[in-house]
Amino acid sequence: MLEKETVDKLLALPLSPVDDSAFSESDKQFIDWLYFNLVGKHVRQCSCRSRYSDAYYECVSLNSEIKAIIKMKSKQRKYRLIPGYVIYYKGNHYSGVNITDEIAKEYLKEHPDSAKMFEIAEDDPRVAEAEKFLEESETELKDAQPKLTDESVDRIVACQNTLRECIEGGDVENIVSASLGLKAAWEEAEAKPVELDQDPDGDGDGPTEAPGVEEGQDQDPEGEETEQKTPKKKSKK
Amino acid sequence: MAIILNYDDIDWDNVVVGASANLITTLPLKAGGKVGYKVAQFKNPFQGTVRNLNDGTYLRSWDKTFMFVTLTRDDEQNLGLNDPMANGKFVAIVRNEDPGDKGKCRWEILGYHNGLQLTACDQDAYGDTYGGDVFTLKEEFAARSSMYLYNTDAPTTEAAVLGYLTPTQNAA
Repeated sequence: MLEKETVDKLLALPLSPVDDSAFSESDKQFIDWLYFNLVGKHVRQCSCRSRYSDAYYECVSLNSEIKAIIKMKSKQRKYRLIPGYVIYYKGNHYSGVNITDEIAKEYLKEHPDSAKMFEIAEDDPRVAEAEKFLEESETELKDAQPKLTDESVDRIVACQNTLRECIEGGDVENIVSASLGLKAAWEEAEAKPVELDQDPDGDGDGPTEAPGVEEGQDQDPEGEETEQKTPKKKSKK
Repeated sequence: MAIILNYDDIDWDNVVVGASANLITTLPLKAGGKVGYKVAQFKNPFQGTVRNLNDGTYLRSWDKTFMFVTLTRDDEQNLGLNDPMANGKFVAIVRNEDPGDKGKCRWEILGYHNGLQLTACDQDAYGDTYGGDVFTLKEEFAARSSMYLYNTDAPTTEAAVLGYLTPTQNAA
Protein backbone atom coordinates (compact mmCIF):
# COMPACT_ATOMS: atom_id res chain seq x y z
CA MET A 1 0.00 0.00 0.00
CA LEU A 2 1.50 3.31 -1.05
CA GLU A 3 1.64 6.14 1.42
CA LYS A 4 -0.36 9.29 0.79
CA GLU A 5 2.81 11.33 0.29
CA THR A 6 3.99 8.94 -2.42
CA VAL A 7 0.62 9.03 -4.15
CA ASP A 8 0.60 12.85 -4.07
CA LYS A 9 4.07 12.97 -5.60
CA LEU A 10 3.05 10.45 -8.28
CA LEU A 11 0.03 12.57 -9.14
CA ALA A 12 2.25 15.64 -9.42
CA LEU A 13 4.50 14.01 -12.04
CA PRO A 14 3.95 14.75 -15.74
CA LEU A 15 1.46 12.31 -17.25
CA SER A 16 3.40 10.94 -20.23
CA PRO A 17 7.00 12.10 -20.08
CA VAL A 18 8.91 11.54 -23.31
CA ASP A 19 12.29 12.34 -21.83
CA ASP A 20 13.83 13.77 -18.67
CA SER A 21 13.18 17.38 -19.66
CA ALA A 22 9.65 16.98 -18.29
CA PHE A 23 10.96 16.38 -14.75
CA SER A 24 12.18 18.85 -12.18
CA GLU A 25 15.10 18.01 -9.90
CA SER A 26 12.76 17.01 -7.08
CA ASP A 27 10.80 14.79 -9.51
CA LYS A 28 14.04 13.07 -10.48
CA GLN A 29 14.96 12.48 -6.84
CA PHE A 30 11.53 11.01 -6.21
CA ILE A 31 11.75 8.72 -9.27
CA ASP A 32 15.18 7.53 -8.18
CA TRP A 33 13.82 6.80 -4.71
CA LEU A 34 10.77 5.00 -6.11
CA TYR A 35 12.85 3.02 -8.59
CA PHE A 36 15.26 1.97 -5.85
CA ASN A 37 12.37 0.79 -3.67
CA LEU A 38 10.69 -1.16 -6.44
CA VAL A 39 13.57 -2.47 -8.51
CA GLY A 40 16.36 -2.44 -5.95
CA LYS A 41 18.81 -0.29 -7.91
CA HIS A 42 19.29 3.36 -8.75
CA VAL A 43 18.43 4.98 -12.07
CA ARG A 44 21.18 4.12 -14.57
CA GLN A 45 24.04 6.54 -14.98
CA CYS A 46 24.58 7.39 -18.62
CA SER A 47 24.30 10.40 -20.88
CA CYS A 48 21.00 9.62 -22.56
CA ARG A 49 18.02 11.92 -22.17
CA SER A 50 15.46 9.44 -20.96
CA ARG A 51 17.03 7.79 -17.92
CA TYR A 52 14.38 8.99 -15.50
CA SER A 53 11.43 8.65 -17.87
CA ASP A 54 12.45 5.05 -18.58
CA ALA A 55 12.68 4.38 -14.85
CA TYR A 56 9.29 6.02 -14.39
CA TYR A 57 7.66 3.80 -17.04
CA GLU A 58 9.35 0.75 -15.55
CA CYS A 59 7.89 1.59 -12.13
CA VAL A 60 4.45 2.06 -13.69
CA SER A 61 4.64 -1.29 -15.46
CA LEU A 62 5.95 -3.11 -12.40
CA ASN A 63 3.49 -1.93 -9.80
CA SER A 64 -0.23 -2.34 -10.38
CA GLU A 65 -1.06 0.24 -7.74
CA ILE A 66 1.04 2.89 -9.47
CA LYS A 67 -0.51 1.86 -12.79
CA ALA A 68 -3.98 2.39 -11.31
CA ILE A 69 -3.02 5.82 -9.99
CA ILE A 70 -1.64 6.92 -13.35
CA LYS A 71 -4.76 5.57 -15.07
CA MET A 72 -6.98 7.46 -12.64
CA LYS A 73 -4.97 10.60 -13.21
CA SER A 74 -5.33 10.31 -16.96
CA LYS A 75 -9.08 9.98 -16.56
CA GLN A 76 -9.50 13.09 -14.47
CA ARG A 77 -9.54 15.54 -17.34
CA LYS A 78 -12.76 16.20 -19.16
CA TYR A 79 -11.28 17.76 -22.30
CA ARG A 80 -8.69 15.79 -24.24
CA LEU A 81 -6.90 17.01 -27.30
CA ILE A 82 -6.78 14.19 -29.82
CA PRO A 83 -3.18 13.08 -30.46
CA GLY A 84 -1.71 14.81 -33.48
CA TYR A 85 -3.49 18.10 -32.90
CA VAL A 86 -1.75 21.02 -31.32
CA ILE A 87 -3.21 24.42 -30.54
CA TYR A 88 -1.54 27.76 -30.05
CA TYR A 89 -3.38 29.81 -27.48
CA LYS A 90 -2.33 32.86 -25.47
CA GLY A 91 1.30 32.47 -26.43
CA ASN A 92 1.61 28.79 -25.56
CA HIS A 93 1.46 25.53 -27.46
CA TYR A 94 -0.89 22.91 -26.12
CA SER A 95 -1.17 19.27 -27.02
CA GLY A 96 -2.75 16.36 -25.18
CA VAL A 97 0.16 16.43 -22.74
CA ASN A 98 -0.27 19.84 -21.19
CA ILE A 99 -3.75 21.12 -21.96
CA THR A 100 -6.00 21.71 -18.97
CA ASP A 101 -9.78 21.74 -18.81
CA GLU A 102 -9.77 25.49 -18.17
CA ILE A 103 -7.66 26.25 -21.26
CA ALA A 104 -9.74 23.86 -23.37
CA LYS A 105 -13.00 25.50 -22.27
CA GLU A 106 -11.68 28.99 -23.00
CA TYR A 107 -10.30 27.90 -26.36
CA LEU A 108 -13.54 26.21 -27.39
CA LYS A 109 -15.54 29.27 -26.38
CA GLU A 110 -13.45 31.36 -28.76
CA HIS A 111 -13.10 28.68 -31.45
CA PRO A 112 -16.23 26.53 -31.41
CA ASP A 113 -15.31 25.09 -34.82
CA SER A 114 -12.36 23.33 -33.23
CA ALA A 115 -14.55 20.93 -31.26
CA LYS A 116 -13.54 18.08 -33.58
CA MET A 117 -10.01 18.36 -32.18
CA PHE A 118 -11.20 17.39 -28.73
CA GLU A 119 -12.65 14.37 -27.05
CA ILE A 120 -15.01 15.60 -24.39
CA ALA A 121 -15.89 13.12 -21.71
CA GLU A 122 -19.52 12.88 -20.74
CA ASP A 123 -20.28 13.64 -17.13
CA ASP A 124 -20.57 10.50 -15.09
CA PRO A 125 -24.14 10.10 -13.73
CA ARG A 126 -22.64 9.08 -10.38
CA VAL A 127 -21.05 12.53 -10.09
CA ALA A 128 -24.37 14.29 -10.70
CA GLU A 129 -26.09 12.05 -8.14
CA ALA A 130 -23.37 12.70 -5.60
CA GLU A 131 -23.57 16.47 -6.16
CA LYS A 132 -27.32 16.38 -5.59
CA PHE A 133 -26.92 14.26 -2.47
CA LEU A 134 -24.24 16.58 -1.10
CA GLU A 135 -26.44 19.63 -1.68
CA GLU A 136 -29.40 17.97 0.07
CA SER A 137 -27.20 16.87 2.93
CA GLU A 138 -25.87 20.39 3.45
CA THR A 139 -29.37 21.88 3.47
CA GLU A 140 -30.66 19.20 5.80
CA LEU A 141 -27.74 19.66 8.16
CA LYS A 142 -28.55 23.35 8.60
CA ASP A 143 -32.10 22.47 9.65
CA ALA A 144 -31.27 19.42 11.70
CA GLN A 145 -28.13 20.65 13.44
CA PRO A 146 -29.85 21.56 16.77
CA LYS A 147 -31.25 18.05 17.01
CA LEU A 148 -27.91 16.32 16.49
CA THR A 149 -25.00 15.78 18.79
CA ASP A 150 -21.77 17.65 18.16
CA GLU A 151 -20.04 14.37 17.42
CA SER A 152 -22.62 13.47 14.77
CA VAL A 153 -22.43 16.91 13.19
CA ASP A 154 -18.64 16.69 13.04
CA ARG A 155 -18.81 13.29 11.41
CA ILE A 156 -21.37 14.43 8.84
CA VAL A 157 -19.30 17.54 8.02
CA ALA A 158 -16.18 15.40 7.63
CA CYS A 159 -18.02 13.01 5.30
CA GLN A 160 -19.39 15.95 3.33
CA ASN A 161 -15.86 17.34 2.93
CA THR A 162 -14.58 13.98 1.73
CA LEU A 163 -17.39 13.72 -0.81
CA ARG A 164 -16.81 17.30 -1.96
CA GLU A 165 -13.09 16.59 -2.46
CA CYS A 166 -13.92 13.50 -4.52
CA ILE A 167 -16.35 15.47 -6.69
CA GLU A 168 -13.96 18.38 -7.20
CA GLY A 169 -11.06 16.04 -7.94
CA GLY A 170 -13.12 13.99 -10.39
CA ASP A 171 -12.34 10.89 -8.36
CA VAL A 172 -15.31 8.88 -9.59
CA GLU A 173 -14.03 5.63 -8.13
CA ASN A 174 -14.27 6.98 -4.58
CA ILE A 175 -17.40 9.06 -5.00
CA VAL A 176 -19.68 6.08 -4.40
CA SER A 177 -17.91 5.02 -1.21
CA ALA A 178 -17.83 8.64 0.03
CA SER A 179 -21.60 8.92 -0.62
CA LEU A 180 -22.22 5.71 1.28
CA GLY A 181 -20.07 7.03 4.13
CA LEU A 182 -22.14 10.20 4.31
CA LYS A 183 -25.36 8.20 4.23
CA ALA A 184 -24.11 6.01 7.08
CA ALA A 185 -23.14 9.11 9.06
CA TRP A 186 -26.67 10.46 8.68
CA GLU A 187 -28.26 7.16 9.72
CA GLU A 188 -26.02 6.95 12.74
CA ALA A 189 -26.74 10.56 13.67
CA GLU A 190 -30.51 10.01 13.47
CA ALA A 191 -30.27 6.87 15.55
CA LYS A 192 -28.13 8.48 18.19
CA PRO A 193 -30.12 10.61 20.63
CA VAL A 194 -28.96 14.10 21.27
CA GLU A 195 -27.76 14.82 24.78
CA LEU A 196 -29.94 17.72 25.71
CA ASP A 197 -28.05 18.40 28.87
CA GLN A 198 -25.69 20.18 26.57
CA ASP A 199 -26.12 23.83 26.89
CA PRO A 200 -25.75 25.35 23.47
CA ASP A 201 -26.14 28.96 24.54
CA GLY A 202 -23.85 28.55 27.52
CA ASP A 203 -26.11 30.32 29.97
CA GLY A 204 -26.42 27.32 32.22
CA ASP A 205 -30.11 26.84 31.73
CA GLY A 206 -29.99 23.84 29.47
CA PRO A 207 -31.14 23.63 25.92
CA THR A 208 -32.79 26.56 24.28
CA GLU A 209 -36.51 26.14 23.86
CA ALA A 210 -38.43 27.33 20.90
CA PRO A 211 -40.11 30.70 21.66
CA GLY A 212 -43.62 30.49 22.96
CA VAL A 213 -43.29 26.97 24.22
CA GLU A 214 -43.66 26.41 27.88
CA GLU A 215 -41.40 24.09 29.72
CA GLY A 216 -42.69 20.54 29.89
CA GLN A 217 -45.09 21.25 27.06
CA ASP A 218 -44.87 18.80 24.21
CA GLN A 219 -44.05 20.56 20.94
CA ASP A 220 -45.07 17.59 18.86
CA PRO A 221 -48.69 16.55 18.99
CA GLU A 222 -47.56 12.99 18.18
CA GLY A 223 -45.64 12.58 21.33
CA GLU A 224 -44.76 8.94 20.88
CA GLU A 225 -42.99 9.45 17.60
CA THR A 226 -41.07 12.36 19.01
CA GLU A 227 -39.96 10.27 21.91
CA GLN A 228 -38.49 7.69 19.57
CA LYS A 229 -36.64 10.16 17.43
CA THR A 230 -35.67 12.84 19.88
CA PRO A 231 -33.99 12.35 23.15
CA LYS A 232 -35.48 12.32 26.54
CA LYS A 233 -35.47 15.82 27.84
CA LYS A 234 -33.76 16.34 31.06
CA SER A 235 -35.94 18.18 33.53
CA LYS A 236 -34.60 21.44 34.73
CA LYS A 237 -33.63 21.49 38.33
CA MET B 1 13.20 8.01 -30.16
CA ALA B 2 10.42 6.93 -32.45
CA ILE B 3 6.67 6.70 -32.14
CA ILE B 4 4.78 3.91 -33.85
CA LEU B 5 1.18 4.51 -34.84
CA ASN B 6 -1.33 2.09 -36.26
CA TYR B 7 -1.95 3.08 -39.87
CA ASP B 8 -5.70 2.72 -39.47
CA ASP B 9 -5.75 4.83 -36.30
CA ILE B 10 -4.77 7.91 -38.28
CA ASP B 11 -7.58 10.25 -39.22
CA TRP B 12 -6.50 10.56 -42.85
CA ASP B 13 -9.43 12.83 -43.74
CA ASN B 14 -8.08 15.54 -41.48
CA VAL B 15 -4.40 15.35 -42.33
CA VAL B 16 -3.07 18.80 -43.17
CA VAL B 17 -0.21 19.18 -45.64
CA GLY B 18 1.97 22.23 -45.12
CA ALA B 19 3.60 24.68 -47.48
CA SER B 20 5.70 21.94 -49.05
CA ALA B 21 4.21 18.68 -50.23
CA ASN B 22 6.44 16.67 -47.94
CA LEU B 23 5.83 18.70 -44.79
CA ILE B 24 2.83 17.47 -42.83
CA THR B 25 1.57 19.97 -40.29
CA THR B 26 -1.16 17.87 -38.69
CA LEU B 27 -1.32 14.10 -38.58
CA PRO B 28 -4.22 13.49 -36.20
CA LEU B 29 -5.39 10.21 -34.80
CA LYS B 30 -9.02 9.19 -34.80
CA ALA B 31 -11.14 9.92 -31.75
CA GLY B 32 -11.71 7.15 -29.24
CA GLY B 33 -8.56 6.74 -27.25
CA LYS B 34 -6.06 6.07 -30.02
CA VAL B 35 -2.48 6.50 -28.96
CA GLY B 36 1.07 6.07 -30.23
CA TYR B 37 3.74 3.75 -28.86
CA LYS B 38 7.17 5.02 -27.96
CA VAL B 39 10.31 3.17 -28.99
CA ALA B 40 13.47 4.30 -27.24
CA GLN B 41 16.87 2.83 -27.88
CA PHE B 42 20.28 3.36 -26.44
CA LYS B 43 23.12 2.75 -28.84
CA ASN B 44 22.81 3.33 -32.58
CA PRO B 45 19.06 3.76 -32.45
CA PHE B 46 17.19 2.28 -35.40
CA GLN B 47 20.36 1.06 -37.08
CA GLY B 48 19.47 -0.39 -40.45
CA THR B 49 16.79 2.17 -41.21
CA VAL B 50 17.37 3.05 -44.85
CA ARG B 51 15.74 4.44 -47.97
CA ASN B 52 16.24 2.92 -51.42
CA LEU B 53 15.14 3.81 -54.90
CA ASN B 54 12.70 1.32 -56.34
CA ASP B 55 13.30 1.14 -60.04
CA GLY B 56 9.92 0.09 -61.36
CA THR B 57 9.03 -0.74 -64.94
CA TYR B 58 6.92 2.39 -65.52
CA LEU B 59 7.66 4.59 -62.52
CA ARG B 60 10.37 5.01 -59.95
CA SER B 61 9.40 5.16 -56.31
CA TRP B 62 10.95 4.74 -52.86
CA ASP B 63 11.30 1.84 -50.49
CA LYS B 64 11.78 2.72 -46.85
CA THR B 65 12.98 0.35 -44.17
CA PHE B 66 12.53 1.00 -40.48
CA MET B 67 14.36 -1.20 -37.99
CA PHE B 68 14.28 -1.36 -34.24
CA VAL B 69 15.17 -3.86 -31.55
CA THR B 70 13.78 -5.00 -28.26
CA LEU B 71 16.30 -5.80 -25.59
CA THR B 72 14.55 -8.30 -23.44
CA ARG B 73 12.87 -11.66 -23.55
CA ASP B 74 9.42 -11.08 -22.20
CA ASP B 75 6.14 -12.97 -22.53
CA GLU B 76 3.97 -9.84 -22.42
CA GLN B 77 6.11 -8.20 -25.07
CA ASN B 78 5.75 -11.21 -27.34
CA LEU B 79 2.00 -11.16 -26.89
CA GLY B 80 1.50 -7.41 -27.05
CA LEU B 81 4.13 -6.40 -29.60
CA ASN B 82 5.46 -9.28 -31.71
CA ASP B 83 2.14 -10.92 -32.51
CA PRO B 84 0.16 -7.78 -33.47
CA MET B 85 3.20 -6.46 -35.35
CA ALA B 86 3.14 -9.51 -37.63
CA ASN B 87 -0.17 -8.61 -39.23
CA GLY B 88 -0.43 -4.86 -38.79
CA LYS B 89 0.27 -1.81 -40.86
CA PHE B 90 2.07 1.09 -39.23
CA VAL B 91 3.41 4.59 -39.47
CA ALA B 92 6.59 5.51 -37.61
CA ILE B 93 7.58 9.03 -36.61
CA VAL B 94 11.32 8.95 -36.09
CA ARG B 95 13.41 11.61 -34.42
CA ASN B 96 16.41 12.61 -36.52
CA GLU B 97 19.51 13.89 -34.76
CA ASP B 98 20.04 16.36 -37.60
CA PRO B 99 17.05 18.72 -37.46
CA GLY B 100 17.70 20.35 -40.84
CA ASP B 101 16.69 23.92 -41.63
CA LYS B 102 14.70 25.42 -38.71
CA GLY B 103 14.05 21.96 -37.36
CA LYS B 104 11.85 20.96 -40.28
CA CYS B 105 13.53 17.58 -40.65
CA ARG B 106 13.59 16.65 -36.96
CA TRP B 107 10.60 14.30 -37.13
CA GLU B 108 10.49 12.04 -40.17
CA ILE B 109 7.39 10.08 -41.05
CA LEU B 110 7.92 6.58 -42.43
CA GLY B 111 5.02 4.64 -43.89
CA TYR B 112 2.99 7.74 -44.71
CA HIS B 113 1.98 6.57 -48.17
CA ASN B 114 1.57 2.83 -48.00
CA GLY B 115 2.24 1.92 -44.39
CA LEU B 116 5.08 -0.05 -42.89
CA GLN B 117 4.69 -3.80 -42.73
CA LEU B 118 6.81 -6.33 -40.95
CA THR B 119 9.12 -8.16 -43.32
CA ALA B 120 11.46 -9.76 -40.78
CA CYS B 121 11.61 -10.35 -37.05
CA ASP B 122 14.79 -12.11 -36.00
CA GLN B 123 15.74 -13.37 -32.61
CA ASP B 124 19.26 -14.33 -31.71
CA ALA B 125 19.49 -15.79 -28.24
CA TYR B 126 23.30 -15.36 -28.30
CA GLY B 127 23.33 -11.83 -29.68
CA ASP B 128 23.42 -8.64 -27.67
CA THR B 129 19.65 -8.20 -27.83
CA TYR B 130 19.52 -10.57 -24.85
CA GLY B 131 16.70 -12.66 -26.24
CA GLY B 132 14.91 -9.68 -27.78
CA ASP B 133 14.02 -9.30 -31.44
CA VAL B 134 15.25 -7.28 -34.39
CA PHE B 135 12.19 -5.94 -36.20
CA THR B 136 12.35 -4.91 -39.84
CA LEU B 137 9.40 -3.00 -41.25
CA LYS B 138 9.20 -1.91 -44.84
CA GLU B 139 7.17 0.53 -46.91
CA GLU B 140 7.30 -0.06 -50.64
CA PHE B 141 6.49 2.20 -53.59
CA ALA B 142 6.30 5.43 -51.57
CA ALA B 143 5.66 8.38 -53.82
CA ARG B 144 8.03 10.72 -52.02
CA SER B 145 11.49 10.12 -50.71
CA SER B 146 10.86 11.75 -47.37
CA MET B 147 7.93 13.05 -45.37
CA TYR B 148 8.36 15.22 -42.29
CA LEU B 149 6.11 16.31 -39.48
CA TYR B 150 6.52 20.02 -38.99
CA ASN B 151 4.00 22.48 -37.60
CA THR B 152 4.89 26.19 -37.38
CA ASP B 153 8.14 25.75 -35.44
CA ALA B 154 10.15 23.24 -33.45
CA PRO B 155 8.32 23.66 -30.08
CA THR B 156 4.89 23.32 -31.69
CA THR B 157 5.98 20.20 -33.53
CA GLU B 158 7.46 18.80 -30.34
CA ALA B 159 4.17 19.44 -28.52
CA ALA B 160 2.28 17.62 -31.28
CA VAL B 161 4.63 14.65 -31.06
CA LEU B 162 4.28 14.42 -27.30
CA GLY B 163 0.53 14.40 -27.80
CA TYR B 164 0.76 10.98 -29.45
CA LEU B 165 1.87 9.48 -26.17
CA THR B 166 -1.01 10.84 -24.13
CA PRO B 167 -4.09 8.68 -24.05
CA THR B 168 -7.39 10.45 -24.47
CA GLN B 169 -10.31 10.13 -22.09
CA ASN B 170 -11.67 6.94 -23.51
CA ALA B 171 -8.39 5.06 -23.48
CA ALA B 172 -8.57 1.91 -21.43
